Parts: sequence; C-alpha cells; structure tokens
Amino acid sequence: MARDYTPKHAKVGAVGPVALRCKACTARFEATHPAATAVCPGCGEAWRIRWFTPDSGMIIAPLDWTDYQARARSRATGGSGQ
Amino acid sequence: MNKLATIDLDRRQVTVEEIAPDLRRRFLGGRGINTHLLFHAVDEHTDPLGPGNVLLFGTGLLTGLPWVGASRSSFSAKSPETGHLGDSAGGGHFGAEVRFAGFDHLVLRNRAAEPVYLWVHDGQIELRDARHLEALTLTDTQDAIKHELGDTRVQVAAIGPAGRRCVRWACIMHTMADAWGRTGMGAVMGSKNVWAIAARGGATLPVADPAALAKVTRTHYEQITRSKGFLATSSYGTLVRLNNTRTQGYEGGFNHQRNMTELPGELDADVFLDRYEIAKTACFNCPTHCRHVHEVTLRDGTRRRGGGPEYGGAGGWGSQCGAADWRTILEAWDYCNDMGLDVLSATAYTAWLMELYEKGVIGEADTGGLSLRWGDHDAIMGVLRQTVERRGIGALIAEGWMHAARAIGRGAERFFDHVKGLSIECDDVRGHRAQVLGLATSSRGACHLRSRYTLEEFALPSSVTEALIGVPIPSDAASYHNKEHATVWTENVCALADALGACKFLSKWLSTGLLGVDEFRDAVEAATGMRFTTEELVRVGDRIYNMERLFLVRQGMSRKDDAPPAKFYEPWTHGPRAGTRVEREPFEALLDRYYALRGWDGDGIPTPEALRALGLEREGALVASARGPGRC
Repeated sequence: MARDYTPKHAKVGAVGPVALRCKACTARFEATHPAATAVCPGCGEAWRIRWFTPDSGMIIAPLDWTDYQARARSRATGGSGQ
Repeated sequence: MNKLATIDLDRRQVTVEEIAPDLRRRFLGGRGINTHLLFHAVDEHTDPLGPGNVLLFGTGLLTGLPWVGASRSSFSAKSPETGHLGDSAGGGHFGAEVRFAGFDHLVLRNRAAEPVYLWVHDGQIELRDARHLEALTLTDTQDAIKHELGDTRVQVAAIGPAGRRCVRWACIMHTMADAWGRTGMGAVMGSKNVWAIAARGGATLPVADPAALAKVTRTHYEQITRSKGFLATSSYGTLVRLNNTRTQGYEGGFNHQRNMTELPGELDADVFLDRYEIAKTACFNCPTHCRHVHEVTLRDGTRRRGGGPEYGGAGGWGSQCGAADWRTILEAWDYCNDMGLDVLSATAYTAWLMELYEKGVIGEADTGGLSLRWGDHDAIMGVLRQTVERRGIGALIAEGWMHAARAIGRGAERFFDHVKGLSIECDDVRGHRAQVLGLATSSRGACHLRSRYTLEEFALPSSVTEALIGVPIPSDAASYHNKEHATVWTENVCALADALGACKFLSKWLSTGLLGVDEFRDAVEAATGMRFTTEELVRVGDRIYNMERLFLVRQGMSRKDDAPPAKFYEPWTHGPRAGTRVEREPFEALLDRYYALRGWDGDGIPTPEALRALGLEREGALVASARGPGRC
C-alpha cells in the first residue's frame, strides 16, 4: 500500500458511515472505515476506497480497470453496461 | 525590502528603486505587478525573442513570509510560444530566497553579449560568466552554480539546453521539478543570454504585526490540514486527478479524440505511489508536501531519481499519447525537466504529431524516421530529443505549433487543440461548462491555473456555492446556468492568489475547506498592515484580469479568440456522460453573460466604464490609440 502522510492530528475522527459519490453514475452512497472496497447500490460499480482518515474516505479507482472500461464502452454503444 | 531591480543586460547596469505604495495597493505583487510592468514595457509589435522584450520576475506580496504556502512567484514576458501575454507561476524556494536577498521584483532588459547568470545576494546583483554551463542539464547547472558560489543553500532558477537554444516552449526550472512552465519563459531567458538566476540572502522580512500573523498562520494551518482537499493532495499530489479523469470520462485520450481510453490499469496513481515514489517534498512553508520524488529503472538498465510527476505529465504521456507504462512516462518527464521543456506543451505537441501520423498527414519522411505510433516509448523520446537538438520534426515544433503547421501544410493545424495559441491540457473538460468558459477566456491561452472552476467536478449543492460565490451554481456540471459567475470568481481568485504568492492548492480553487479571500485578507493585514475588505481584494484580481485583457486587445484579440477547441463541439464517445459536447448556442449565450458580468462589450472589449471603475483608464486609452475607436 502507498505510504500514509496524514498528519497525526488529522487522524482523529469519528468512525461511521461516510458519503461517497459514485464516479460512474454520480449517485451518493455510504461506506464505513476501514472497508477497502465499496459497491455503488445504484449502478453496481465496485470501487477501491482510500481512507485518509477514518471519517474521510475517497474513491480512488475501479476495482478492475478492464471491466470498468468495457462497461463504459458497452453503455456508449447502447448496451446496459452489464 | 520592497525593491524592484532593473538589470540592463547590454550595459551590465543595475538600477534599484522602491515599489510605489499605489502600485502595491492596486496590484499587490507577483503576477499583478508583473502584468502592470509588462503592459507598459512592450507593445503589439515587440518581438518576443528580440532584445525589446522584457523578462520580469515577481515575488508575491506574501512570498517568503511565515505564512502557510507563501512560496509562489511569477515570470512574465511577451510569449514566444503564443505571441501575446506570457506569464507563469512557480513554487519551490526560489521566490522566498530572492526576497531574503533583498528584492521583490526583477526586470531583465536587452540582451547580454555573452551568456551570464545573475547572482542575487544581500541587496546586490552581479552578472557572472555562464559559458562553462553550456553542456549541462538543469540539475547539473544548479549544482554547478551552488558549488561555484560555495553554498548549497543558494536557490537557482535556470534554463536548460532547450531554453539556451530558444525552443519557444522552453521553461524555467528550479530544483528537480519546480517549473515556471507555460508560455515559453525559458526561451525569453535564453534569448537574453541569461542562463540562470541564483539567489541567497539573510534578510528578515518585515512583518507589520508578528503576533497577529502567527495567530492567523496557526488558524490557517489547522483549517488546511483538516480539509479533505489537503488530505488528498498530500497523499497523491496532482495525480489524484489522473484517476478522477480516467474513471469519470474526461480523460482526454489520443490527442482528445477519446474521452475515455482503454489503457491498462497500470496507469493508476496508486501504482505510481506503490512502485516508484520514494519521498515527498514541499515548497517553502507548505504543509502539504504534494511533490513526489521517484526512482525508476529505465529501459537501458540505468536507475535514476527525479522529482514529480504531476498529472499533466502522467495524463499527457499516458492518456494523450497512449503510454500506459510508468517507466516511459517518468523517462519522458525527467528528460523534459533535465532539458527545460514545458511538459504540458511537450505532451500536447507529441500527441498532435501522433495524430497527424495516424491520419497520414505526416510520414516518416517528415519525422526524421520516427514511427509515431501511440504509446511508443521510442517515438515519444525521439520527438523530445529532436526538439532539444532542433533536428527532424523537432526543428519544426521547436518554433511552435503554428510554425510547424504552416511548414507541414495539409491541414495540420486542424488537429492541434488550443486556445489563443496555447495547447489545452490533457484533461477534456467539454462537459464542465464553467471550465470550458474559463478555458476559452483564459488570459494566457488555455490554462487550468488561471480559470478552471475545479469545484464544478464535485457536484456541490447550490447552497454551498452560493455561500462561496454569492450566486447559486448548479451542481450539474453540464448546466450552463449561472456558470459565468463561477468563471469570473475563479479568474479573480486565481489572479489574486498569484499576486499574493499563495498556492492555489491551499485555496478554495481546489476545495471549499481551504483558504478563501477572507483568509487572504487576514494574512495580508497581519503581514503588511495593508487593510482591504474582501470585496477590495477581489477587485484587485478583477483589475489584474482586466489589465491582461487589455494586453490581449492591444494584440488584436477579441471575442473570436474566446473559443474552445473545435473538438469540444463534438460529443464524448465513452463513459458515464457519453454524448456530452459543447453546444454552440448556449455557449455563446454564456459568453455574452460573462462579458456583461465583466463589464465588457459584446466583442469582449472592456468598456470605458468598467476600466474607470478599476482605475485602468490610462491603459484603456493607450489600447484605444493603438487599436482605433471602439477598442476601449
């Protein structure tokens, strides 16, 4: 894993669900620290999550780039993206 | 302190004067004062690479002070790449060191008879022989000067082989990867036979109220380090944008022919952090440490260390040129930094040539034998080497894309994506309306650091943007409604930050939790004793932007030049928002509203009333006399 540069004082935070915005369908959904992955309930995309602090998570990338790109191509050509 | 030094390189004379209080108040420093000086120093006929051009260096009003991220400084000149306004801001430690050495602004006039470097120290400026630096790369140049001056703490801003050979998009570099990158300021420096500026000083900068500044700095530090924007950039730097653009379909692929590529997952910020990053560094007084230091084994087996990369290089050689392997990206990145080529222009020029090759507009007879296939390591490195050595296709693009397009013919210019002559960057923002507008109206040509309303990508609720900008901005990036307010706000805040020497990565340009104009106001008052209201500070940004607009109008620019690249009118083909494009009619209506908000007429010319309100009547009259009635 990548090195953690978070300052010590910023690591203090409440642990609980945090809102993320799906990068595929832009819907908001929740994930809880320390889950490394999360799935958007709206479109079903699976995401890799990076937790900067327990209450500050961020979607970093799709779980699988190849699958994600194939679905994007399918949607663009009229498919369901599944 | 508060000193402006004019160096006549031809006569080897240095003149030092105080910066007038009125000039300070109206333009603050950095890009602000530079813009004012540049406007009056050159005109529409000045040859950018001739002795009549000036090269201005300006530190921000707060640069070097004990305030968070007070590192930035600007080089300005008439641009040899675009032919109009040239200006580039950079970080690192150089700006602060110039102030410690006793100077706020440097004006380089005419041309030195032999190559020199400037030694700026303790209130003095010396011109020193630089001929022995001729064969050196940029990092070696900096090391050689530090060794010669006997002090490793000397800070150096230098040009490399590209700048010495006046490649029109050469940059000025400092450390391994801090660049004043865009608009060819390195070529201007090279044309003046100045190969470096070295600075070292021991002065303590005066602070109006040290206790108040310490308190303000502590508050701002805590505000910054608790924000999500800080957490993301201190981990990923600008590479956070690489993954964002790739997943959300504004990736800008294969010279903007695609908005989402199917390049392998290797092109991922986490892959870089895990495999290549060995450390992070920071600019002067910055808590973020967004700069990567990498180590990579090149194809020939040599192991090298470099600074960076930033998103512009990773996305540029990655998505735009199709190189989805970090070794190629890092080798190209390091080569540009060694040679002093602007990475953003380098990626744009390479991607352009690759599309021309793909479409059959050019062949190997034109490229000096290079097969310019997408993603090809040898093709990318070949283009860069030919440019620095001024041979093959590199000899053409070293003179800028307009020259190259004329020489190539066959409609080559249609494939180059630019605004006002400056290449657009790798990300493809056609689906973000405020960002497209900002790209079109940007005063130095296409530029994310002047007018990109970054917040548009976060789908913020209107209540949040209303509290920030004063007008609710729709959370939908594709909406045209009220986006003119977002763009004007961004342009003014960016101009203000550049005049203060503040890093935009610590400002609300990046994230709403970071510093805004209110925080800038508190820092200015504590540091300098100058009192401004928030509105007055925004007006300074407005004044700088209007002054830059006058510069463009004097060059003959108007509404016809405020246009996004032609490809942006075509639809996105992939991703969550496939089909999105810039629609001509609503975009032109948005541009009308932008002009009205700025106080410009329908052709994008500042009206006398608007200029009077900003105290720019004299400059307006000068432009009117140069361009004729109806032009201010």
